[in-house]
Amino acid sequence: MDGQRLTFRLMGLNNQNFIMEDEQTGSWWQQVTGEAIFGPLKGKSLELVMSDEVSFEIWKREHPQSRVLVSTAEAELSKKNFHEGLEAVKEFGLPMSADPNDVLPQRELIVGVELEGQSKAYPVEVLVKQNPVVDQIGEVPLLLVVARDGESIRCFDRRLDGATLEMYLKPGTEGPLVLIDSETGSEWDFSGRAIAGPMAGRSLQKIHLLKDFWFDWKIFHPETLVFRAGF
Amino acid sequence: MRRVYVVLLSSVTIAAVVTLGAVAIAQKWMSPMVAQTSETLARNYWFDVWSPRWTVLLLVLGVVSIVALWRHRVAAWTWRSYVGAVGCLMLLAGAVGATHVKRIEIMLFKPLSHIEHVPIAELEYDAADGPVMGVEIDGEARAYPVKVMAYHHIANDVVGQQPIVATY
Repeated sequence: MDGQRLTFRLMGLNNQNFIMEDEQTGSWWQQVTGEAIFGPLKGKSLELVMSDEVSFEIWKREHPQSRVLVSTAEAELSKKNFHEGLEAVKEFGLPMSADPNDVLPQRELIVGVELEGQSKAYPVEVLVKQNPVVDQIGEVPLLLVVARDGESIRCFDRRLDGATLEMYLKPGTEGPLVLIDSETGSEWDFSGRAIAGPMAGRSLQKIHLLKDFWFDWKIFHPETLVFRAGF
Repeated sequence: MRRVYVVLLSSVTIAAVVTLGAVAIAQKWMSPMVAQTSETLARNYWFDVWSPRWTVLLLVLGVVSIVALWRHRVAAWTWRSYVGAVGCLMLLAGAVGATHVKRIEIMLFKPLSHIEHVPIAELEYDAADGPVMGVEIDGEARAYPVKVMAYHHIANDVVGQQPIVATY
């Protein structure tokens, strides 16, 4: 931040989203937005680094040279099946009362995308059913893809060389998922790279998304839109 | 002789107010299961900024009271001496409380003591272990298993020479 290197630790919770404190200035930062909400750096924002939340297999396939954070004894002690753990978290109560007119349950898993000042939530369940989803936020045409595991999700800008690509799932394929664009018939993999056809070697630009619970996304993106299933 | 008890009484009152206040604030505004508003967050921050000052104040009062008690000691301990001694202990306990009460909530979470990583090729992974959070900066890739991050929540790291904070 402005030439100063900050180190963060947990400070508290704001409606179930962490507040982090930097050791250098004591400012408080909201985890989900990366914005300083109190202290000397109030109003500043951390730059968001493009990141992925994908399966170990996908990350290993795409980044064979990657290094991995080593687990700790405490984390191993709390170890249980990740998916069972997630189901258990969905049962946790929340301090905020539910809005009876809300469009989604509070603990519904969504992926949130924020672009050009607009935000939109895509329920994971809908993305899985409708895979891939082509949509638009502001002027940007988007592609949201769910990998075969039903969990790893990515978002891309589907414009290339001034054209907007329409994408379809290649039917009946074994192994990793493949998409086809209707403009050139090229085949695309989950990393957004064309692996066959006229576009081979080209890549779509990745767009940051956040896998989150609906209540959390909504608190910090009160104007958010919600993507509804098209069937 | 009279003055020492005025000093002690006011010290004990301040200590009691600060300690009870700290506990009340922790219960009402800082508990993880409390719905927060921008006002309660602002109070939390104010309290966080002020707690070291409360600590110093209470420690000074504690020391002053002990000295006063010592200087005005009488040969045999009366009930006043016991009240004074208990008051001094309360001041010191209040000082500790003021410093640490804001940490009650944080004590639920265990930070990573250090960051260590290994090549992905060396790892065997089970699909039940869940996904990873991955970043790639300047050709250097790093993965943070969500399971580890869901326990420790924050990793201050350097990837591609860029200092980053990974958080879940």
